Amino acid sequence: MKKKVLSVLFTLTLFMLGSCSQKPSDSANALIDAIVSEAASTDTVKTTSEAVSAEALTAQAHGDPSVDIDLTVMNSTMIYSIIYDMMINAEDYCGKSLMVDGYFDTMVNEALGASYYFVVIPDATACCVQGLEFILGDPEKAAEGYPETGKDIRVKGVFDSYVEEGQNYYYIKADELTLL
Amino acid sequence: MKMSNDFISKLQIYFSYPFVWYALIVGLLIALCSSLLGVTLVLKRFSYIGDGLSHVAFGAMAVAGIAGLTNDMYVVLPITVISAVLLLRTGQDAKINGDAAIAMISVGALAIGYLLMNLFPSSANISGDVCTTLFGSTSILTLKETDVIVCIIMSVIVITAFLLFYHKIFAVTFDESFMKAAGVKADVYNLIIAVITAIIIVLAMNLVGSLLISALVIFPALSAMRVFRSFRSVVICSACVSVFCAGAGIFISIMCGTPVGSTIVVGDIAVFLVFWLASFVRKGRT
Repeated sequence: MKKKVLSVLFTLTLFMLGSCSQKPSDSANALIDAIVSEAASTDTVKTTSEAVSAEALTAQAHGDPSVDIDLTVMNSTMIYSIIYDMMINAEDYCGKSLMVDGYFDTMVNEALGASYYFVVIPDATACCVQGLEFILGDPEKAAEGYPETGKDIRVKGVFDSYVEEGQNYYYIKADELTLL
Repeated sequence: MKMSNDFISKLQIYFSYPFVWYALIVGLLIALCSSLLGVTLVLKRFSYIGDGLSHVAFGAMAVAGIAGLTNDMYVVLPITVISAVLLLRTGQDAKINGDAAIAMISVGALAIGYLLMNLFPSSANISGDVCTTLFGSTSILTLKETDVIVCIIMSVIVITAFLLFYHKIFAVTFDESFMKAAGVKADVYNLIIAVITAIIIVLAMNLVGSLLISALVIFPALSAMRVFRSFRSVVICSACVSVFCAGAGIFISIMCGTPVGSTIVVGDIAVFLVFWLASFVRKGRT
């Protein structure tokens, strides 16, 4: 058994070493030459593009600098966890601006005659979902109407609360609603 | 350089949330406690007890949900402890042997729990609740401060009990018959092991979910046994492996968006393979 394992490992090592020692083809050499010559002739352009790519990378890490919490640049595990934390410790998040992607959904309370609008965020396996209510802050935008249910949207706004029938409810006072 | 700066920035952002620290604290404590008991359970041929008890806990959670209890621990913990005592104390005189008893209770509790959840749903998303309980995808990242305090207290109890009764646990693991013949109350220490196991299983469900708990219990112990021979060194190595894999798994899960439970278990498997390979190399040299 030990000999079999060692022979498999030895064979794998040979393959790996063999692939490393492979001589580059003529087309590969030409490509490398082209890349080197292009790099040599575009120093100033490279500096500018480096700065741009640095900004892009920073935006990718931090997200939109105009919001406190940008969920659009986070992975699904963190998104779901942060939104859950917002539901449990809502007071800690009141007043903070956030941006979130999800799909649009609505609910109607027939007793009150009120409609509620949500951005629904599923986790990675889509078996668990969290919904955040949002209300468009701009009356003009609200008058334009909301998208169809199920459409992917991006909501940007401030986390706030309101009282209805003696209960505290938390929502996003949305400044922007974008269809994705 | 830029990539590493952004990685560090992302790390700082994620670790500014308290629930991430809660997850790490609880995860490391649970990993430590489960590894300590894991060695005993593996040597006593009760490797699958984690699975059985976690399914019992799942069924108990369903009952607690129907009863509308805000804190399901009042139901889950006692039922799991009773099941652990029944399974681990039956010993050699049982009419139904260890593995059959575990299988019977395990599948029975899982079936009853899922049936009850469907008949009396306590939330609108049954499949989501079941998925989270079975696989623990994000439940470790949704802990409250009180959950952390409860976990710390229980972990201290488990670790203290293990340290206080270390020699007796060692004896009951390797030669229970001799212990009884020597007049030592082996049943009492079996009971202690059963209760501690139940506590750890209930806590560990938050970390890796019901279906993956066995991995958390057995893999660190099996990894350590590949390399070390004495009980003490196996326990210490098992604890180190378990804590390392849990910490790394939580960290990778947070940074890469993978499910926490399965990431930890994959880490355990990887370490087991490394230790297994190391044992082969060592045997080759001797």
